[in-house]
Amino acid sequence: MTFKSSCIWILALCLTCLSCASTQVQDIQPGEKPALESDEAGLWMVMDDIEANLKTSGRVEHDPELNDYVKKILCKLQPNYCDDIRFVIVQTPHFNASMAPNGFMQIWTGLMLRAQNEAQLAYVLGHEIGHYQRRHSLIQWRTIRDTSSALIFLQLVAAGAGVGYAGSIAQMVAMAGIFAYSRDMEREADDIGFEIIADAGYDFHEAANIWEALIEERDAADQPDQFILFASHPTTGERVNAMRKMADQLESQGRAGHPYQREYLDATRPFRAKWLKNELRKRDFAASQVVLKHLLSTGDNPGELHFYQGELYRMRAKQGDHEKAIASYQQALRCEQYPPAALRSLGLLFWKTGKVEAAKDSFKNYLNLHPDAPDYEMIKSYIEEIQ
Amino acid sequence: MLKNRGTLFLLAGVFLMSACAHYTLVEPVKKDIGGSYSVEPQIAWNRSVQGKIEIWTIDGPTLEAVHFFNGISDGQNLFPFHGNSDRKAKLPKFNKNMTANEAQEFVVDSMMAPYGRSLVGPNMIGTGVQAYNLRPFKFGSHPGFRFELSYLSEEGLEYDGFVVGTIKADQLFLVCYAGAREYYYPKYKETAENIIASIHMP
Repeated sequence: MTFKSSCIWILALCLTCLSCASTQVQDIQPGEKPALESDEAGLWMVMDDIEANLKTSGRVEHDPELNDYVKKILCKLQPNYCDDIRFVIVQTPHFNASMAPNGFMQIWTGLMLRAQNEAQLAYVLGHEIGHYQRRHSLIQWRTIRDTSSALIFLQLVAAGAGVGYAGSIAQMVAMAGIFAYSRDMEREADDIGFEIIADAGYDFHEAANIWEALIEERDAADQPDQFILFASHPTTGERVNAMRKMADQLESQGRAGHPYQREYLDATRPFRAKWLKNELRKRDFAASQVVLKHLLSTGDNPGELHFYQGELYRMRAKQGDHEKAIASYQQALRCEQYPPAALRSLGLLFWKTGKVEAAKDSFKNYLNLHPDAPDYEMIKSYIEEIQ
Repeated sequence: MLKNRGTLFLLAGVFLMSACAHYTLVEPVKKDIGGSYSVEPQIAWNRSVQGKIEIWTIDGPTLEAVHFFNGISDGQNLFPFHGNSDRKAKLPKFNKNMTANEAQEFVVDSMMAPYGRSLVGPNMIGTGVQAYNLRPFKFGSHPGFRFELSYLSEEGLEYDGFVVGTIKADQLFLVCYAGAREYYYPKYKETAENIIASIHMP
């Protein structure tokens, strides 16, 4: 079933259930499936189809080690729901995660790039688990269905169905928008996520830290309205303060936790260059600058991060950015490890600014360090041209 | 009821036809491309033109196609985009001083731009685009570059492709052949190689 036909199913469900009466909703139990004749079963069926579609998308990150790592975190957070919750890691450079009513979770790589430790990712996953446990999407569905907001719901579905080649991000955002929760639900999911990570032994201070970093990024962004998460998760300073207060209370009771930063960095390091490159492709350089600043604060593989800082300046290309890019590449080269591409980028900028000997040296060093370079012949031709 | 259904089918047909690109036949004889250069197709292709992009296909543009990008000027995007101007501002732009490496980056970033793109070049919208083997290439008699591509469509279909290009008079000229890795890309690869070998650019 395609996304469009799924949307038609949602429309049909919405229209046929307009007369149904809302009932009290209990927390979903481990292994529980809705009764076949229920409206919830219909909702699950639609989401099952969307899940099947998304799993074959070109955007899904299939790496088994990374998927195993995330699965372990989910099972550590809620062992009883370990078999009920499925997920895909979606290669999209925005910060987001979402949970469908059938237990299918999307985790976007933009979130994984921004999380600085396992506790931060665990908190966001715990928050989404909270929505699932409390059946928030079913409650939201019934509220919309039983009120005049049904029209808004229909418009959202139609928007999702009509995007065509405009890109699957728009489709995913439309689906996330359909299940945008009320502030009370968000607060409840915050509380559940917080309790879950604290019980699982994570450093609960990290819950506020990841929101705070995201707010800082949004405030710096060229286009704050492009922050997809804020469309469905109204994050405010008030929520951050509430989480800080909860963390202080737990700490005063002698509770403590671990951020598991080393574990997180080890698991995500092989993917970070790819995620950073995709981050820069958004061309919201002010926001990406904040992301890089936070990543640099971890002290992990600084050579790579200085290289991408240089790439940011090179791509932005404002007045003075070439000089800043050169300084960043040179800083990368002073690190113990750095991407060989730093030498190539440095050579290209030297060449453009007329420093031909320095360019030639950088190109030669690049080829020596990277004999399998995917642009070996081209760089060799640059050296010949300079000579 | 049947009459209503017939009307619906008719409306649907009209809608679908309006969404299709208009194709004309390219005969296997020397063919002028945008008044800038010529190629010799050797076999017949179906051709559609959308702005500065000419698309040739045999089995359909999502299966295999040759894209001719004719004279992308300084500051222009690779693919036309008619949406939100804020989003358009975030799309990669060609710069006349680009090196071959930067032109390759411009193509790859345009294919992977995280915001929406137009219907043009549906088989050139990809995820996880890998460009490799960037090397010098004679675009007719002009110095240029060539690189190979592999990527996935949004739906997860695997594609292969290659791009040749040159910058002449501050404009970027590109020819890209891409197709579904299974069957379609290899089916016309040799023909596409002959097309780029036949480029005559005065």
